Amino acid sequence: MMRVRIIGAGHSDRGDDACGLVAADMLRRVAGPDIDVVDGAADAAAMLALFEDVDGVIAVDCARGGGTPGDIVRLPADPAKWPKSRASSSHGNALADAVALGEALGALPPRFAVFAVVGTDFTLGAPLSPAVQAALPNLIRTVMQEAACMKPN
Amino acid sequence: MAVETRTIRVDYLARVEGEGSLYVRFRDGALEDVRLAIFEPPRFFEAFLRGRALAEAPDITARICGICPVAYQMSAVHAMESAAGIVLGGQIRALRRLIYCGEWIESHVLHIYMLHAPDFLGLPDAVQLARTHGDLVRQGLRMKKIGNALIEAIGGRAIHPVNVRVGGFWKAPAQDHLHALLPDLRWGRDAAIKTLQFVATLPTPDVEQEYEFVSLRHPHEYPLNEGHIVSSGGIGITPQEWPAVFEEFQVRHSSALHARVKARGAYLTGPLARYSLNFDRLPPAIQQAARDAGLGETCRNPFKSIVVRAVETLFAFDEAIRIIEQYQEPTPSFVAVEPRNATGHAATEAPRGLLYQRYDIDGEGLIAHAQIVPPTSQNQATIERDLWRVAEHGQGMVDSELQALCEQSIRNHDPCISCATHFLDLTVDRA
Repeated sequence: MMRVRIIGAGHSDRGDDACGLVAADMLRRVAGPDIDVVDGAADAAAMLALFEDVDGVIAVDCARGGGTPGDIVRLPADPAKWPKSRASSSHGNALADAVALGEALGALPPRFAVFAVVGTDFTLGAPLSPAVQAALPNLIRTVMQEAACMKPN
Repeated sequence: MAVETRTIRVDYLARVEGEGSLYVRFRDGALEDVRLAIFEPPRFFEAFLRGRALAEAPDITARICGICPVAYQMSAVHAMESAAGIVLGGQIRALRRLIYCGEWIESHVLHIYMLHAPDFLGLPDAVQLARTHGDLVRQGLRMKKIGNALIEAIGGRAIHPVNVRVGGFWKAPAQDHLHALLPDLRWGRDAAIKTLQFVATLPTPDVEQEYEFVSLRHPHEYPLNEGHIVSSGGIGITPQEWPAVFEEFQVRHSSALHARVKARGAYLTGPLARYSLNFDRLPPAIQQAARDAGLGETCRNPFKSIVVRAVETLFAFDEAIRIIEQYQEPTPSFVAVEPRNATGHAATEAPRGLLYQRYDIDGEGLIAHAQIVPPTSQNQATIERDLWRVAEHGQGMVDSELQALCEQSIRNHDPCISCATHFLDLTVDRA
């Protein structure tokens, strides 16, 4: 049986950077018991461990740039081509570093996808911006469709 | 004649925790200025703590760092218990030592494999190290995971543990839960020996620095949570006496306070200091492993800190196994701490060095004043002194080589800038 894990990455107290975590909370309610939904880890090594023991991973994060606020973008396989997020997040580039490390070690699961919502407000303590908040329902549908594609049975 | 200026500037230091920069300036061939600037904004944790209940300190201070939250919790709970006049022993004490072993493992292994080793191999980062030394990196990742699992088993979760409380633990881990970790820890101990053997082969410059080492020293143990504060310069005090001997001060180029021995100056905490002041407290087998790796009883070569860190990683695995083999679940898992109007002090050994905390507690058990002095703050001046020497000796190097050596020199001390802001852009100015 195909095992899929959804990872919500980000920081809960940095405005739009929380959208991956908020999305993970929403996905837990709709994903069903056969899909593992977890919050991301704070460093690349711990994040890489979340790629283990599954056949597919869908990561959800926030991007700084790369489109209009609220846009949902599917990030390319090479994290070097991802929008930069350093200035917005204390978790640094844990997800990007984990993907790069996983690729170098041949430790990425066979199926892997990363979706990011383009953020606009990364102020400490701020809520999600209206643009990112409005994008969440579509993000949930997009992630669930991807999970269904990874789990054809 | 025109003045020739050469500047090396690194605006964002890589492979350090937090955000800082490095600036080196030469004028007419002479080194004129070296600054390690920490520009990560101040975080005001000491102010957050004011007015909060003493029981909240372990959870609030844990948030200072995602790499070494246990250190902040341990210094906090010991300071609170110092204020209350109680000293805990038995299995609660052992559990505190055990959770600290987990933190040393995950922090030291992260630094050895992900942050520091690429420097010695001429590689830009851990991803390239993974391409050239895949099995080695896999080994490091597994070791780190074991350290995290140990913290989680005791602390409830690996990052910002929630099970630590003043007086002990909210819930003691079951004996069989800890025993289940033993196979991985025994594998980790073997992997730590291989790590030590690997880092001992890394090429290091042959330098010796005149540091004043400062660390805890315990009558019987390699220090983690307890001991007197001692130095290679003759200091021997209790943590209560820290303010009488040391002082913090501000410099214009850093949002982190520096610290010095009053009337004397810079000092160094961390693995080099701990090891050099406590070699005789290591178990004989680990002393021998250190000797086999080429170390003496003291180590003043900062580029060998990666070897010392590997010795301490081996110690942490060994000590964790010893504690778990003897573990019996404490009942109760904590003792009640009655607040009283008093001041509490504590110093424990974070992976990066001595972490001192002081709290004034009022009669209601509220925090009236907090002081937190992380190891990176204490080490900043010494790191700049190291950089000064590196830049002087590396003056003939091209900028890219000098920059790489300067960055390596900083990483020798594994600075945690997020903790200190209370790391790195480099500028070399050769006017």
